[in-house]
Amino acid sequence: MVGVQKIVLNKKGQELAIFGMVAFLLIILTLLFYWFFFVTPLAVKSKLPSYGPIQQSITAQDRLDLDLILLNYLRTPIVVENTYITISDLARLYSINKLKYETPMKEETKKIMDAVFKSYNYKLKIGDTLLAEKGQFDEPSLSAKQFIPFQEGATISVSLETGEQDKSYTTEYTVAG
Amino acid sequence: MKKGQFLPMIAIFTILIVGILGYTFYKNKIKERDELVGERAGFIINTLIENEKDYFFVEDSARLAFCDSMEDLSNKGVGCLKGNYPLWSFNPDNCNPDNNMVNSFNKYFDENFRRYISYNTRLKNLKYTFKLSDDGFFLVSDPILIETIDDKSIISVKYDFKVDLNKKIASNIKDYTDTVILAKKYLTCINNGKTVDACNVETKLLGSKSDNLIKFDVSSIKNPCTLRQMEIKFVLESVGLS
Repeated sequence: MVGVQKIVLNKKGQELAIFGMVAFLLIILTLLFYWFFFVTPLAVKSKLPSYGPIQQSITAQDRLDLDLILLNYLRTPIVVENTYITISDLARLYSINKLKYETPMKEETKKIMDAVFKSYNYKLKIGDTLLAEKGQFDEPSLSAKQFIPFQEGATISVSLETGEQDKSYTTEYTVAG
Repeated sequence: MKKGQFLPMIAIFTILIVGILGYTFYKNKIKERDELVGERAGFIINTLIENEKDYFFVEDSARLAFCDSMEDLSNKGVGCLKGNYPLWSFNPDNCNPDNNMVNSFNKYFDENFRRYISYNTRLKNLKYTFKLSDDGFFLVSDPILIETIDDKSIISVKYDFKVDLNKKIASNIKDYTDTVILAKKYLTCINNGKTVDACNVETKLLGSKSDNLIKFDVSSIKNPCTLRQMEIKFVLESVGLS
């Protein structure tokens, strides 16, 4: 044994070098053990590889934007018959008397929505009646719906759908100077 | 430290630290979660969306209920009727608009608001308080709990609704309270033995005699929600009517 030791470890500092290599391997093994027994088993998995990991929160964020647009539209104050009312009030008046309030309802809706959706197509409906639209699309990419209180036991539904971005739309930029 | 001792010490410390981390995982019962990254965030955002929609419904219902209550005040007064006209009596009784105008409005508002929010299944049992004062109209609800439930966990969000109608409509009943003051003056005028015509001129309230009653249809105000004209109408009884 002493002879083998003398042959194998015949250089100065070899013992320490082997000891160091062992220590290094021990570190690697410990980290691998930790990785395979603690990190990967407890990681969040993707159920649907084609969906993408953060698609759901991005979609939720877009939905939030569209719902907020719809709510702000319904809260917008307008002047009808020299009185300030909201779009939701006008929607109720329109539901009671379509003939009298159709024009202000459609005009105000188009004005507001065209300003919001400069580069997107959209459709806005009260119940099943189309109030305003821009562009054509078969399947909406996003939709939002809100119910507003109405008369005895009834609510009115207002829905907003957006289509794909209008690719022909170009944004103009003004450069100072 | 001697040369070559550093790496072995690193190895010992690594094992120690990884051991502590592993123990922490075990102690805190960190479990595998079978969900998408961003899925929980998506649930929370969806819950926020529902909150915003409910808040809009509460706000719009409060606005409608306020307008309806003004109509009720016009048509039913403080709850006493003579024929189709609300009776205003300035005796210490329930028909006295001085004491009962605000109470009656609150009663009408409560009934109307409760009716509107009952159309929304999530809000129909909402608990709330409201106050009509000189500063305007405020409604505050108790917190409601919305839970988004997926297979493995519940995300609970509590929120309450605060509605300040002052910025939305002229949320006061000043037209009514001003008319009550004039009506009191009118009654005093009549009880002093003056004629209806003379009191009409004196108070600028136009009353018309009908048996032992004086009927009033005060110049109308516009309902800010329905744009319909509402007349403040009432009758006064006077012993001294001539």
